[in-house]
Amino acid sequence: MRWISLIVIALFFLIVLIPITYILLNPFCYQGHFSFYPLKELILSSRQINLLKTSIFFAVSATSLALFLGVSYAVLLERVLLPARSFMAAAYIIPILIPSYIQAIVWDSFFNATRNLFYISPFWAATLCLALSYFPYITLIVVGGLQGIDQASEEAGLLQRGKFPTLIGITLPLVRPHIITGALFVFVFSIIDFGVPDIFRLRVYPVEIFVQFSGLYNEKAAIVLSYPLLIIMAFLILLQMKFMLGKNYIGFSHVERRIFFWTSGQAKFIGTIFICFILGMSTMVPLVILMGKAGSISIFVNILKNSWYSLCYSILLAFFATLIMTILAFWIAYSLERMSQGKRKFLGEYLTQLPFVMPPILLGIALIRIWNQPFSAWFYQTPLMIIMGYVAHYIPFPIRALSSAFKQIDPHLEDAAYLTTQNRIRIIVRIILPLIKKGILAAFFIGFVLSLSDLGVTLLIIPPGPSTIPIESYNFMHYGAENKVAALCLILVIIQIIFAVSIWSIYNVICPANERQ
Amino acid sequence: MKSPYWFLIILNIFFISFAISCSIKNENQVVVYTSVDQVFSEPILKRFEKETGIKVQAVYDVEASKTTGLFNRLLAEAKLPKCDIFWNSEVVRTIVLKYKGIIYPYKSPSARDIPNRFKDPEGYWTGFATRARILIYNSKLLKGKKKPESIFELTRPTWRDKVAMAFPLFGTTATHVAALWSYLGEEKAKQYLISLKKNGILIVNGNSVARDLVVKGRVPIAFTDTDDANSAIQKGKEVGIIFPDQKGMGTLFIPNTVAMIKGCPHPGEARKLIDYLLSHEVERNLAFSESAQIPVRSDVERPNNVSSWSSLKAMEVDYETIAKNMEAATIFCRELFVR
Repeated sequence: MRWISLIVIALFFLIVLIPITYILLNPFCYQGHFSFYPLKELILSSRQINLLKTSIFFAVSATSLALFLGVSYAVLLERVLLPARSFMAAAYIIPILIPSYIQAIVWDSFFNATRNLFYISPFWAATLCLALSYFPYITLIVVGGLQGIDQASEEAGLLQRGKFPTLIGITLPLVRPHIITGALFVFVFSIIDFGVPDIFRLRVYPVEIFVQFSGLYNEKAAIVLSYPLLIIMAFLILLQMKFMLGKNYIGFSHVERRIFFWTSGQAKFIGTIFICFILGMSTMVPLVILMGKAGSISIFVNILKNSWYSLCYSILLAFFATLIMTILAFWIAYSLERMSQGKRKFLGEYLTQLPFVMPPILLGIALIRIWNQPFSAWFYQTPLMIIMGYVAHYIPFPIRALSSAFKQIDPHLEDAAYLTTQNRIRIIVRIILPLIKKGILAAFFIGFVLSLSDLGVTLLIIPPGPSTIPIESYNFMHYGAENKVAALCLILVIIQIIFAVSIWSIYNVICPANERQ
Repeated sequence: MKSPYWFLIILNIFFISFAISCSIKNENQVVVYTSVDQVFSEPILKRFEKETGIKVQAVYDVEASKTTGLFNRLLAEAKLPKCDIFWNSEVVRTIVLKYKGIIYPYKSPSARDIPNRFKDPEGYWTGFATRARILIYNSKLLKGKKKPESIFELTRPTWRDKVAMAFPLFGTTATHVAALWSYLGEEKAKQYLISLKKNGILIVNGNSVARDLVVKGRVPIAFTDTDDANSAIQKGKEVGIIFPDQKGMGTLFIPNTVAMIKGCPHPGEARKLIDYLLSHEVERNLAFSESAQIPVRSDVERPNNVSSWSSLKAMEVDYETIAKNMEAATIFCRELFVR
């Protein structure tokens, strides 16, 4: 048991923490000596401060809109008896499968096409795009919260105060930590995003980092300029951990009984319309526009014929990265959940969330600097580097999903098993694994989806040879082949939907309905 | 599932065999990093592979990284290079690589008849197949209207809010600005950029986006490169090309450049590929491709739609000087346009 933990910790350090530490400390090594000189870049000009303000305002706006959409969706789903509820409970995941840059491309073309009817500024266009991309994360977390709250207090509230006051006065305050956590996730996603604002020609602070890196080739200045973002985001992670201490991010347990505040009438009708509107905006509009742009079936056939190798390559890379990510995340989450509250656990939680805030371009450079060494030459120019990059960048998500799953297991079960056998591995295999099957599938799903659509890390560390689908899409975009870009994006989304359905089917096979109850 | 051990064993076997297969070196190969669009560079590299039997391993850049992803990768890999050749779609970043000690001189016999202005005197880089910085216009929107002959006309009220340009901090637009810096001098270049901004120039995230805005009729005219414009023309879009300042300072030409990486793992194969890339055949193929690149040698065959290098007036600037002005120009543009 101990040696497995040591191996996992060592791998986490090698793959994740060493590159991040390298990036954070690199600027202090100036001309071969330790120096604070590069920190002069932190004296921001008024222009840079304005950009930072724009970025913060942009992230706050995107988060507010995503909160409105995400919380409303979750509340409608869990507290209003909607028609086709099961479909709605699954459909909001689809926007997660559409990468934000694809949403941006689609909405940009939509706003261009309709510019004679109405005008939307780049700021609000980018805000809308990010909100539509990220609201499902809030819904996912808030749904978990709503499923886990004590229903007795709601029932008492309904008897004494009525439906709406109970929702405002009891239900929402009870899921406040989940709402705040969801909001923090979206805020972090939004403030580091460069692609979406770039497509809408919105100037934000990450542009400064990109200019230092790609325009002036000043890597140290680029890293130093990213410090304000890293500090803001680290502070937000701490806040989020404070709010969510001991609580689940995602609900995995079966909900035996739901309280529906509204089962008929106007609320049900308005709720259905509202959910259809959100799904239409976040899913139907992008998919229909992509289909329209792609044109005929022959384009898809052509793309599949020419890009099938890249397609298989992308799927294999994402699959193996997710496999490693999930195995590591399992042990890390298990160790964290079995740790008693205290500074060690806090540090562990913090370190495992740190990759979440790293700009991918900096992570790519760090991976090159660390792994382009004679001792690692055997794997440096192999797909293993991309797999490592994906693991380094996306591991916080599977860890969070699995932590939530572990939180829902009664620790006494493990203690009871320990009385019959002292073999920890046997306990994990026989007791723990079957209990967190859903968590493992969720972790695998999140890791796969994020890895498959990655561009930032892949771009810097992809070995010579075959390309990945996101890179091919960008190549076609530059070439002006809009139909090919749309077809590739649709293929990517379809693969992810197939993957999601497969995961769901596997879940149904290994966790049959009677077992879940 | 009785035990996960079978699964761990299979996983181990996979990774060990994967690592072994990856560690088997193929010596008869060459690694090339290229910022030239994959659709144009891949067929050429495949042909080299077929003709020589040398396997070409390529990494392509994408415009999302503002064609500097590979440049930064080369800098990061400097201590232990993995790349043999950098085939750049432009010239200035190759010169910056020379200053940073990343590239190594090689005077290819294929480059003997390439004009000196496209070659580094010490042989660090060699240019071929140029693109021009042109103005692309929407022929429908400008039908019957007077088209600008100079980029300086675009600061006039007639063109207010009607011109698009890529972010002048990256790619060939940055090179163009630095070239103006070199040709006009700092003050005049700054004044010109300020005038463009005052006249409502639309700054977009790439030359291809600028071209697409013209194709869709969002703006009547934009700065872009000949390859971007030609790909639209060949798709039957209603656009035309203006080689600006033919009666004045001339049009800026930006050649492809090729350079060998210092300490590269396959120097022999790298030389062979450089010789091939600098051959007449490759210039001809690039001229006949959709990117319609202009050969730098007058005796290279080209299609009718590709102008000959000698028939156009080129901006008289030294690429090394442009490279030296790049930082100042970028910093100024950042202050002016990123706000």
